[in-house]
Amino acid sequence: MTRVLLADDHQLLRQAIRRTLEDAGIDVIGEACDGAEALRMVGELKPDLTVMDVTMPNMDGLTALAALRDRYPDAKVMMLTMHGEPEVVSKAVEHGAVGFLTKDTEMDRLVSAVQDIASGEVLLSRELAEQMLAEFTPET
Amino acid sequence: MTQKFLAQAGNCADRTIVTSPPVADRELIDRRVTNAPARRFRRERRFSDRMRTLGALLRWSTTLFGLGLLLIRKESLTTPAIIAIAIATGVAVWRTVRPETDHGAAGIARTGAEATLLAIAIVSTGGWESPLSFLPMATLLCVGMLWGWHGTAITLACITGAIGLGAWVFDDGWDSWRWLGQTIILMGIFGGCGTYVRRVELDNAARFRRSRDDQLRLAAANDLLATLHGVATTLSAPLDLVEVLTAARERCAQFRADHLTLLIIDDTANGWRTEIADGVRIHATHTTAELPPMVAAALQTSDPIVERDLARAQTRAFSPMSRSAVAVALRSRRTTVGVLCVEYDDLDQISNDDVSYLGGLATNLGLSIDNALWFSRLRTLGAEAERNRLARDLHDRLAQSLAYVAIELERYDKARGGSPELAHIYGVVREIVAELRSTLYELRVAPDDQRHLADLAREYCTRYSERTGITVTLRIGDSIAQLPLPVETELWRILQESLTNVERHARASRAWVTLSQQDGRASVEVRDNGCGFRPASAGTDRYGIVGMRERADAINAHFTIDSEPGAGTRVRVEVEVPA
Repeated sequence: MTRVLLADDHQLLRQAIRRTLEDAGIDVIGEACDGAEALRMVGELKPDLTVMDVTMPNMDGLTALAALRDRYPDAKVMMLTMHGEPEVVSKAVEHGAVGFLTKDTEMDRLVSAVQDIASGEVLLSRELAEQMLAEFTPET
Repeated sequence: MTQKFLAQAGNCADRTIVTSPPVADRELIDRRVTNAPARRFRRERRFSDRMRTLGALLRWSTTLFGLGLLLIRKESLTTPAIIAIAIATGVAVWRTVRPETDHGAAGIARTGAEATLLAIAIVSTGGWESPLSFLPMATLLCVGMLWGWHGTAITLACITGAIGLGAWVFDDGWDSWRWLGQTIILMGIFGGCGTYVRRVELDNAARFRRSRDDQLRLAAANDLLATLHGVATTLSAPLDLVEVLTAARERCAQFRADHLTLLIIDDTANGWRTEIADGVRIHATHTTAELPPMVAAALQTSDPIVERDLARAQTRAFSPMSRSAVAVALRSRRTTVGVLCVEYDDLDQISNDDVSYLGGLATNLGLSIDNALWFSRLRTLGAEAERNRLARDLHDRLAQSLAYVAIELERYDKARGGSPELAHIYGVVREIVAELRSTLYELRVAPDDQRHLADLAREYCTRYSERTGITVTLRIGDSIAQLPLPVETELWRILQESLTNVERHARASRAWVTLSQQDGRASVEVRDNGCGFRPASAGTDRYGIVGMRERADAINAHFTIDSEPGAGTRVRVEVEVPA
């Protein structure tokens, strides 16, 4: 069973995501309310995947991602955020995120993304992938 | 001028707090200051007048005394005595009617004639024993008052000599000579009194002149203070730069200059921006190196630089026609915020009073301009801060909560086998979250060192087209270069606001966005093929026009809207950029 750590400062949303993942048979082993707590819990719980928000108090998701990948190079992190701006996506990818979804994504897609990433795939939402492609495609 | 500025200061007192005395009180103080030395002088004049009255009284006393003695001694009423009486009476009347006040040759001649006549009268009535021998006392008193010790000594010697000569000629013997010493002493005393009065008068006159000079200086200082008070009350009140500059132009009108120029510092272009250029054609922006030598020199000092002959000083101001000028840096909080230059087509047109006034005006004007500039910056920063706070609130509260609702609805629906109605509802909620994400992006994104206006415009127009279905054609000029960040930020917000208006109000199918930069001017233009509107009837801020115009003002840009019903809308903002 896939073991997931959730990191989001919005408690209600975090619990809703937890219930959705658990309904799909995914084991949510812990919840962190900011980046610093996520960093500590990854060290303690060794999850298969960390689902992390970008905007969080104390330590934001991108900083926590960079620190986490620095300390635990094998750790897998998927960003789940309201920010879909290309520069945020590219920073997340640059820091080693293996997935990037926005919070208006359907939950089925979130569940399958978690399962796919846990099994070793890399995932970006279709919209973000298109944006990224447009961003990095040289103009003619 | 004083009255005018006092009146202006009085008018300003209606609008602002005035800590100095009210106008009426200040005028009363002026009168007190002016009248104090005058009163002292009048008091001293009265002393001198009293001495002259005493002289006339003395003259008539000695005359009547002498006449009385002559008339009592009837045996002495000879023809010469009668002539002497006539002479003495005539001299008394003459000098009473016309007392001597002339220090010049005519006065000396008249006084000499008077002394001669009196000497004749005295000699003809018995020499030193004459009852008229006291008459010269009044003459010597007047001589002392007019010519001092020297005049007194000469007159005394002349009279004494004349009478002594007469006494010697008629040989009255030593008895008559006995009176000589007494008469000389008496005449000397009265001459001394006159000299003393003269000294008092001279001292008084000198003191009066000093007091008068002091009073004039005080009045001038009072004028300047009243003027600057008026300047301070009218300039410091507004926080809007346009109002400050309008007040400055009005204040500078009193210089009656042929050319007036005011530049203020332009943080965005690291140079100077022309705000007032009356009677002179100059560029809208300048670097410090481009400033005329005299103006550049004024920036190095806190005092006005005055050139009464520009050609002779081998310098120049803004206008090539100018022959004299004064320039002053406008400073505030130990930094230079602008420079003011007043120029004339003629030589030496600047008075010292004008320079003093300009110095005071510059102090107040510098502070007012700095306040207005800071207010503008704070307003922009405040708008950005408010925008960020709004984005944070939208993200932290609304967007997250809506995402939660969408997830929970989806879970609930799936747990109960799925309902199309419920699926539609959480689908709509998810779309709202997507809209919010887009709004958050628009609120947050702004030009920075990595992403310039053109980069943002490309990205934004693509997203905008996808989201709204409006086809956007973006044209970016070949020569477009990075602009100062504050300028790019304001242009970016205006572009966003214009496209938002197209989406919300224009009912357009196409929009054209053009970024161009040529001939030292950068422009952003947003055009659509929508329904258009009448700008005059657009209401106070229905389309965010006021906000866009304020943003344009903040970077000194020119903002125009062309629209009419059925013909689409064109929003254009154009700003001068450093070469």
